[in-house]
Amino acid sequence: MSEAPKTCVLVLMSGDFDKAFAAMTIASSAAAMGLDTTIFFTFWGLKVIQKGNLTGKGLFGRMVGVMNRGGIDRIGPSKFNFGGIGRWMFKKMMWDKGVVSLPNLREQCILLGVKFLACKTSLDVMEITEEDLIPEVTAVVGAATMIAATENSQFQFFI
Amino acid sequence: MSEEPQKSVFLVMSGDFDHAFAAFTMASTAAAMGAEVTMFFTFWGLKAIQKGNLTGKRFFGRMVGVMNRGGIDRIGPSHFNFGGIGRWLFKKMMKDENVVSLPELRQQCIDLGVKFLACNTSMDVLQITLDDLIPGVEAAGAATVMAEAQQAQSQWFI
Repeated sequence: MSEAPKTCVLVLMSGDFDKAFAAMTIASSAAAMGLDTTIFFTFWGLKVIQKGNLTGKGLFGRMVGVMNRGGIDRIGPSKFNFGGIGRWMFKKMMWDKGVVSLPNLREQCILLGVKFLACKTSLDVMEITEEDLIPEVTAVVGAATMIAATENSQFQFFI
Repeated sequence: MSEEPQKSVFLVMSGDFDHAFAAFTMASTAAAMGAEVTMFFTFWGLKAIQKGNLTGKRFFGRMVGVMNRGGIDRIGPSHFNFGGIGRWLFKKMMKDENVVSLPELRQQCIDLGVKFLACNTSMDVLQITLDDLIPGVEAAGAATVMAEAQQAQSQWFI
């Protein structure tokens, strides 16, 4: 047990700015502390690792692609979004305080070696392909792989 | 492992009545069972440990202070709040069934020695100071909490 590398697994299902920020903060801290860190992005959470282009092939897929368009700059806070004004306001308040931005935080995670896994089932259902995701995504996997990653895990969070 | 006291860490991000209730219930239970419990309040979660006064210095900070006003009596349920009616209703239903109230539950946590930490970054961004929080709360960053979480047997993100 002590020889195996310690791991930390986060499941990010939420696509909100604040939840994504929390997940990336936890992941970058854990990785900086030497833990083998993995984030599993599922459903709404996929928005955080999408490039931001329109997605979908069929009618419903395209509809989801428009209404639920991904991209890290596009996601808003879970409360007080007000059609984007709240997002702008929170970003401004963070900028004023010199807090790291969400894209920078994601970049930090990548540099620290955090593994990004995308949920296969969610991708299929929402008609999102691997090409719609940022190239840093490590792999597209199912729930079983995610559960297997929790072996030797010091802590895991569902966000 | 067995000689050392059990540890639990709670990351409370939600500012909803029901989520706060769940967090304080688990924290007080764990503490009563002899565990060392730490609760880390971040972003919306700060509302549960705010005194309830208006906060913020500049325009946006004040706006957040008004729209997202803290205080344990002010927070409502995540569903069925209906502008405060739902909150009143749930509180009444709880009282009728003699369930402990949220402020009492928080006090129990404090009496049982649960450590309350407030997120530095969230306080900065929302323009909330330590003076706006109930006494006994310490400010901390993500690294402190992660270090505690690593030693803990159970960790929760709420």
